[in-house]
Amino acid sequence: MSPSGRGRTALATAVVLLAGAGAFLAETEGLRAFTSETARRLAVARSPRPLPTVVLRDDRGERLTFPIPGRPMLVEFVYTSCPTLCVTLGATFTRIQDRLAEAGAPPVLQLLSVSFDPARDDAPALRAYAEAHGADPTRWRVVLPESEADLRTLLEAFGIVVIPDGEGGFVHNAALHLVDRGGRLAAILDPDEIERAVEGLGG
Amino acid sequence: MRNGHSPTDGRALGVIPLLLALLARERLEARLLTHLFVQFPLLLAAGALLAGPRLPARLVPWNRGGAAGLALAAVILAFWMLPRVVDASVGDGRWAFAKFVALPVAGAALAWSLPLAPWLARQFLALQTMAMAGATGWLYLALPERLCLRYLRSEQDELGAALVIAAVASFFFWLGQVLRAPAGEPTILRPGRPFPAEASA
Repeated sequence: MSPSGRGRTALATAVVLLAGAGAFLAETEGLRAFTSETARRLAVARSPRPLPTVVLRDDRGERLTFPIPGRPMLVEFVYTSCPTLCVTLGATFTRIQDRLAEAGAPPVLQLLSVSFDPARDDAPALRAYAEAHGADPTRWRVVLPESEADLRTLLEAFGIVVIPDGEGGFVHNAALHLVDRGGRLAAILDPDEIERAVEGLGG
Repeated sequence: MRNGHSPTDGRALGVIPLLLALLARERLEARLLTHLFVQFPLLLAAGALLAGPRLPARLVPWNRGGAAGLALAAVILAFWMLPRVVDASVGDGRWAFAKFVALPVAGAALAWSLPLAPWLARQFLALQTMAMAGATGWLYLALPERLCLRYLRSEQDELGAALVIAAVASFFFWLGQVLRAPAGEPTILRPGRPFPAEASA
């Protein structure tokens, strides 16, 4: 084995390992983000993400344009026939709604449950979900994007991935999405981070 | 079948696993287990076959003992085991393309480097790979979190179990080979000389 061969091999190996470590560190944001969900939350925390304007329709057929300028809001994604995660999310929204009322926050629309299941979530289904969770329509609406395109745009902008669970339902990344006054996605919180959510809404 | 033919004949076979991985893409990527346990190996095999067994002469001084190539393969494989990268390769065309380039490159690097690696390094790599596969599999089973947004939690269990089984099975296979080696030949359990492959260096 010639010395020059050893030298070049050592150099090549070092370059490969350094480049590899660099790529690994960059892709995991410094070993913090191994999963897409963590990466999504870190990216939003680092720089709030501007959101596209979409049209939503609530259980009474009322249209509303999202985001609402100057209004901090909390958005969750659900499908109303969901037996597990969305129930947790719904219960969280109920508690946040109560907290906002207690804190004397102005009675304006700040909570949005957005359905991603247009096939099943018609107006009565949305209403049943709202009623089951005691949603006060002045603060909380359960909505469906008006068009398939609006739905796709919205899921893409928030980074929500919905996959079939093989039993007729869906699996998706569940979280509380805080939208700031500027209509930007400013924070992604766990369903149990109620205090931070209320604080973010200005309550 | 290579007798009497040019070495490129064998290499052309590499197109078969590459096409399989590409044409059956949707089916293979629909499940986490087939994505990682079928498509990944197909792409590695494609790279290994396309590259052929012999390191090109001008690369020889850069890959003594296969060190640089094995490092390259290890780095690529570690990167492509990241859950967020696996996710991205399903949802994003650019990442999908990157996968179809990176994994064959890793396969080529392995084919060009493993035969050059010293005996002891090969044993170490084998054991290290089994340990990593076993530990990762156990982690996938133990973590309550769903690691890939594109795959169900139950598929993570499937992959975890498959990794653990593969790790244990290959360990016993390896052990069997080591124990069955002829009496005169050194094994990791019966070393003849301290560093057999380096002895002539």
